[in-house]
Amino acid sequence: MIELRGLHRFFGETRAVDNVSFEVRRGEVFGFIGPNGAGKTTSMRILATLDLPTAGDAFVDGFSVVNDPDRAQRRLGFMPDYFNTYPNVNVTEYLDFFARAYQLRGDRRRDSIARVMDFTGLDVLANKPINGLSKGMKQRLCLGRSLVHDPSVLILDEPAAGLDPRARIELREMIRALADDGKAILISSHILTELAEICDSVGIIECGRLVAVGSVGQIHQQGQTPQNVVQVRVLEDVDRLVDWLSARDDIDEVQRDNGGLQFLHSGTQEDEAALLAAMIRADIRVVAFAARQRTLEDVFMQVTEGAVQ
Amino acid sequence: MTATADTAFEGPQPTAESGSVWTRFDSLVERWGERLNPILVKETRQALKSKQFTITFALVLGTGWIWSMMGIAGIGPQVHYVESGAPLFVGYFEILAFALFIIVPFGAFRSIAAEQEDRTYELLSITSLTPRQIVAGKLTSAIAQMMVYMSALAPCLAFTYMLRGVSLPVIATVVFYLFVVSLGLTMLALLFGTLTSHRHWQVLLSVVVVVGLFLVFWGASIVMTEEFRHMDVPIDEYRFWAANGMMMTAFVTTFLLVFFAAVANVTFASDNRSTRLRVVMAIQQVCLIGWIAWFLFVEAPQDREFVLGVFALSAIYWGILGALISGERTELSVRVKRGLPGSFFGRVLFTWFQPGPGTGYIFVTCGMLTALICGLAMLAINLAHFPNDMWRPLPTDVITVFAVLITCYVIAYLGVGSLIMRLLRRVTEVTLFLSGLIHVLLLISGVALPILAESVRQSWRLDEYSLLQMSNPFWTLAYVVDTGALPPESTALVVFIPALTGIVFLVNLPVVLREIRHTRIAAPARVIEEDAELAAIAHPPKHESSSPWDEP
Repeated sequence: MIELRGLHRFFGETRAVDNVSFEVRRGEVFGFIGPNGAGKTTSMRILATLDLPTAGDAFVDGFSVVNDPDRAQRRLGFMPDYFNTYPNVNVTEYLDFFARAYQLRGDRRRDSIARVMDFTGLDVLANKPINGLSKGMKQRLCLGRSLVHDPSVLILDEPAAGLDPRARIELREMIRALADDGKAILISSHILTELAEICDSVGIIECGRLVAVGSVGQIHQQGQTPQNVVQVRVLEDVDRLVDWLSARDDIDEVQRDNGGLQFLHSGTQEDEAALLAAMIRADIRVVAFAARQRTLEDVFMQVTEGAVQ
Repeated sequence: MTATADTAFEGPQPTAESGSVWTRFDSLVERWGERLNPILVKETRQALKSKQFTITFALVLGTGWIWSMMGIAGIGPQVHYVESGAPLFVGYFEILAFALFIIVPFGAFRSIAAEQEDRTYELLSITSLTPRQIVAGKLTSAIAQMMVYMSALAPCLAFTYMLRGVSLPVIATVVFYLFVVSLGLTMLALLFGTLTSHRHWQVLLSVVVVVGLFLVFWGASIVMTEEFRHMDVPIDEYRFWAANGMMMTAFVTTFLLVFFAAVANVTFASDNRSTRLRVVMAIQQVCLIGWIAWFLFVEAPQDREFVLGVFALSAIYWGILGALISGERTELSVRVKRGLPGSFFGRVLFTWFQPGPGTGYIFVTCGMLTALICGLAMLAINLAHFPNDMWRPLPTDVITVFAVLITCYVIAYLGVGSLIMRLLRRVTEVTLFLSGLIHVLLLISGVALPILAESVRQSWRLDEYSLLQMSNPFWTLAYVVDTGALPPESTALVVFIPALTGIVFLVNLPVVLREIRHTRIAAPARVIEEDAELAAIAHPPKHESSSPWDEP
């Protein structure tokens, strides 16, 4: 449904998007992760036909956003990272305007608005002026607007920004429901834990380049043995443990962490058990030993370098 | 659908049992409303709730009412014997003109500029609304406001007719032109609103628009105050209708040009933004030639110098538009290539309407040459049919030389400008604004440098025209026409200027050839597939009976 093919966007010397390619299938939620200025919004704006790429192309349901923007637009709903609206307009009028703008007529338009209001829970605020809405409700309205013509592709740029925990959970549920409905969803967010819960796959972008793409598990396994995060607390002599760990080949990125240590360990659960046994044999007085799979945050921190351009 | 959402839509829902006239009328209006431009619907809803509109409307109404009271009080008992409608009418004109010349156009400018500032335009641009619908929506919304203001003062205008001194044709003409001018100003304001999305430029443009609108209002007020008493609307004279027809032709074609320019500004970059504009330019050129031909053969056959107007106006017209066309992008998008003419004749005739500075240069050259040929043909026909009984008529050879030179100047300056733009494209991105600026600077250089050189040579005295001033079109053309006979330098001018123009034209040809080499390309399979699907929905195949037992 969504395909970015060798997408480039340069602003003078700045390479905002540099050869980005990935695909999002029907019913898939794709998380687009990256630090500020990494090129997420630029890529999304190109996909939403709001900007032109310097080179490459993007496709929505097989239609080029460069050469057939009108056809692509009919299939996509875009929720930008800002919400500016018109004065003196209430919720229903706002949705009605966009439904008309998408050429929905008569009962089709009325049904569509009712469906969207029902889905986003805005029906109770139908006649409320938009300027009087809370941030969460505005986000819902923005999502509702992008859904009013029942698009098959959704592009959501930081949809959870500024929302309270309850609103975030509700938004997450809405996004999952939309994906279950068969929509291809491209979503960007800074809240990585949240993305991990709703995304089927992720793309990590830094300085305009896609540094990793695939499911969290796939990224974790890209070009190396599976790694887990291990946290260890010892009674004393942390420095000795650091030296001991540094001498091993299966250990990476040893960091001190609240009186203990955290490191990456390559291997299976049996290897972890063997590691613990080896520590004890080496007279290291282990108080706690916990291993967990790497989170999206861990992956993000590993594959990005915090570089800016 | 929830109950709340249901009630959110005010207005009746057509039901099967609804049978009363009003219900049917209501459902008819509802159906009609479905076809209205969404922007018109939204902005009308907004206006009805907006304080700004309420205050402005109340002010117009209140001022009209106060002016009526003051007028009646001033006239007093004389109302029975004195024709007192005129001064009152002028007052109402001022009130209405303020609303129509300032408030409505500026409102339209702000409406589209605010969409760009607040980035609501981005969301609008990715809907199914075409750029033409967006501009038309803003325009119709402004027209709706004009109608409201005009309706508010309509009783007052009718009142002036009852006071005598103002005839119905005068009222109708003034109100009509108020509307036309307001429409034109609104369209111009919309064009300005689409020019940029940068806030600092918009602030500057706001100032320009406000000052411009106030100047128009001020000018109209002065004309109305000074001239209204002498105003005559001879509706039984054909000249009145001819003059109005000419003005309306000029207005409609210019309006279309500005409209499509505004549409082009908000059109997606890969789309064709030129062809419609060039079609309108061609139509406008035809209209200009047509009206001048009418003058030359019907209205004033003796004033054959009028044909100079064809050349002068065409030169100004194509000079300005050509300078902007030179700033178009050289590359054709895939989308534009899909729409290129496919047949041989299509390519010969319509390639020049396709985007690109090279095709644009040929288009402008063709426009100028058409003006030259038509103008000279009109002159020849006029000479053959009407005797030359003018006092000191301008000799035909002077007119011909003038026509040839002015045509060459336009083609040469635009050609040199195109070459400069070609060089600039290698180092920076070229915009229409930059292209216009470069052409203005080029013209200034062509005028100022020889004057400077001559001044230095003659110790800062500049008395006589010399061939050094050949690059100065204004002095050269004025010099050719002023003396009433061909000046001695004319032979050199007629040789050098066309020769230089020819060289400039030839140097530009490689760029043109590169552009016309583009050929039509096929649409991608996905597009063809969707078109077939849509066509099948729009025109479902008819069921044909293949046997007598088939259902009809």
